[in-house]
Amino acid sequence: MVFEQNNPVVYLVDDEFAIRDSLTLLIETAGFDVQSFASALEFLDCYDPERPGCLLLDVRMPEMSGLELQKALNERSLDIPIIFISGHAEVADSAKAFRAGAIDFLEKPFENSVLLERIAEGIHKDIYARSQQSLKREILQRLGQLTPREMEVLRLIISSHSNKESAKILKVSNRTVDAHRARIMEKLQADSLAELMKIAMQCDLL
Amino acid sequence: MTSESNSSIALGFCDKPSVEAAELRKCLSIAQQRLLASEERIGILEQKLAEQTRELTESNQALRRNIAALEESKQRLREREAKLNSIFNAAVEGIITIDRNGCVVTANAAIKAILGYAEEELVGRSINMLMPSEQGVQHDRHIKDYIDHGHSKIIGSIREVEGLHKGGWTVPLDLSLAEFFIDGEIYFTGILRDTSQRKLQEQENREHLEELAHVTRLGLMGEMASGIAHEVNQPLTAIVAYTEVSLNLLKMPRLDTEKLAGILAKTHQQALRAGQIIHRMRDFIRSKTATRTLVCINQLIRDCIGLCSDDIKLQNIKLGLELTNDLPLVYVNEVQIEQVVLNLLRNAIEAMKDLAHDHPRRLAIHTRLDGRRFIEIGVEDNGPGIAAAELAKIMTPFYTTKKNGMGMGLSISRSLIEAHHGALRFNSLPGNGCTFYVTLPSKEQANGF
Ligand SMILES: Nc1ncnc2c1ncn2[C@@H]1O[C@H](COP(=O)(O)OP(=O)(O)OP(=O)(O)O)[C@@H](O)[C@H]1O
Ligand SMILES: [Mg+2]
Repeated sequence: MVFEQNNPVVYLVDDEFAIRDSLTLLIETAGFDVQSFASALEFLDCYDPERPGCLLLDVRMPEMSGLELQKALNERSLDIPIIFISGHAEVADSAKAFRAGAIDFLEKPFENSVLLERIAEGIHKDIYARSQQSLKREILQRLGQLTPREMEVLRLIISSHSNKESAKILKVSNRTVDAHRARIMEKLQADSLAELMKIAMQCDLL
Repeated sequence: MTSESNSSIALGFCDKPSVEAAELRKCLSIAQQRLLASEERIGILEQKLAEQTRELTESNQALRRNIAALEESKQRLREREAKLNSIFNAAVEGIITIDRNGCVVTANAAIKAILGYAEEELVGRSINMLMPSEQGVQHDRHIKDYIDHGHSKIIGSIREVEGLHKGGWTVPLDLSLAEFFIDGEIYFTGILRDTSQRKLQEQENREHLEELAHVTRLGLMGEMASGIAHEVNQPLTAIVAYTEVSLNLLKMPRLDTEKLAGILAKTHQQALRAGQIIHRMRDFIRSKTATRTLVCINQLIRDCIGLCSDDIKLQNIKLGLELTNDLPLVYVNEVQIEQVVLNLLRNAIEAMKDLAHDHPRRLAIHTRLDGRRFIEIGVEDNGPGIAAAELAKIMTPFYTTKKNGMGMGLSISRSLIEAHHGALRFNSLPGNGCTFYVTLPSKEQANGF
């Protein structure tokens, strides 16, 4: 089962047994793994951030509400996609939820197809975010291979300075700058200036 | 006469010899003595005669005086009778006298006003003609029982009865009874008061209360609607999911009937649950709720809690239930008592709303037998309680300390409970919460009303 550790999972938090029971069946039937919890605190105790997934969350619950859990997760920088399910379609609640990044706010009872679509969307989003994360990690690692001088040259290039201008600023020859530039492209595995710009953006250099 | 006979004796013996004379003298002396004695007796007799004459005269005078007094008292009696008669006939109350057989002896003018019969239509006939038929039979038995055994619940007290009007309709009456004897014969006098007017007033008050209760019930429901909608949405959400799963199961190449049956059973449960909530709510906002039924108070309380469960959950309130088993039923207007319990629950929940976030909230509800004849419901919270200055005011209409309160909850609750011959009381520990108590007569007790 170890390899399933990284299968996406749908977390379901609702204090009502009938809701947990029925939605678990439904979501499992659609082919997802489901883990259900009767309270927000229980979920926080068991949540494994390494595993991709999305969170199906009731708004009103005793002790800790769904909105409070969303806030707690944000504070811990755990940005698992959240789909709220609520018996009361309170505009204020849903606005708050969306501002804090919720995928959707579904009013009970809802169309199952819509729920399953949102779940798929959420999981997709999480997987994508995770791949973006690892890509970023990789690029940062490549960036770490640049020498301080190469970093200087990179900054000049991405702030739209030509080779000539850069050489003048750095008080070196044009050929030296050309050589640095070729090394940078190689280390960052970029084929063009456009790609270099994209990488710079991903690493928040721009 | 005596002196005449004495002289004739003396004359008769004059010519006889002296021996005889001595005899004669002796006789004479005896006669003289007798005469003296007689004279003495006569004197006494005369005296007695005189005394008797005097006495006779005196008693004659007394007799005259008596006769005069008698005349006077006869006159007074006549006056009194006339006065009584005018009272008798002017009284608003009907007054009717019957003999030991239940036959009418007298009836006053008010009887005609109340029951439509003039005195002459009643005298000599049975009192039963003035009662709805089923009462008549009982009445005969009551009189007989009373005469035979001498005890009755009805003598000396006022009872509510129904009279039968000449026109065929019944008239609500207050009846008080007295008995009296003439020449050893028992008679009963009944005094009747027509209570239609009062009954009408009571009826109007009841209807007014009912209307007010209905209006406030609608308000109560309005405030609770979102919580109730949530309560209904829960089972519906489950049903939608369960049925979808069932449909998917049916599409599978190998049908897992056991699993399907399990899911359908759960679906069924949830549908029932949704139905119950809707049912409760519909009953609750119905306007015509006049009938009283036998109600299990514990079940009623559980239903009310069901309608508040969303709020209880959201405020994280610990609910403590101490419902005594096997309580007698209560004979009540179910919806009205629900309204009272809901008002108390909502007040308690609202009272705990502003407690600090981490302050434990406790709502405790109990039922128990109070004495043998009353059932008590207690609703206790650990909110702020009621300040001493407010104690007297909280039950008055429109008194509220809430931004969105109407202040009708407690006042209408008290009226409803009192209309059930019960009482609504409370006990407050400022700073520690308060307890409201409802007492209601149990079924056995309520039958007496
Ligand atoms: N359990 C309680 N704890 C503290 N105060 C209470 C409690 N119950 C009632 N009160 C006080 O009594 C007042 C009157 O209550 P009542 O139920 O009659 O009206 P209300 O709750 O204010 O409005 P509504 O008409 O909506 O019920 C309340 O405003 C509150 O101040
Ligand atoms: Mg109230």
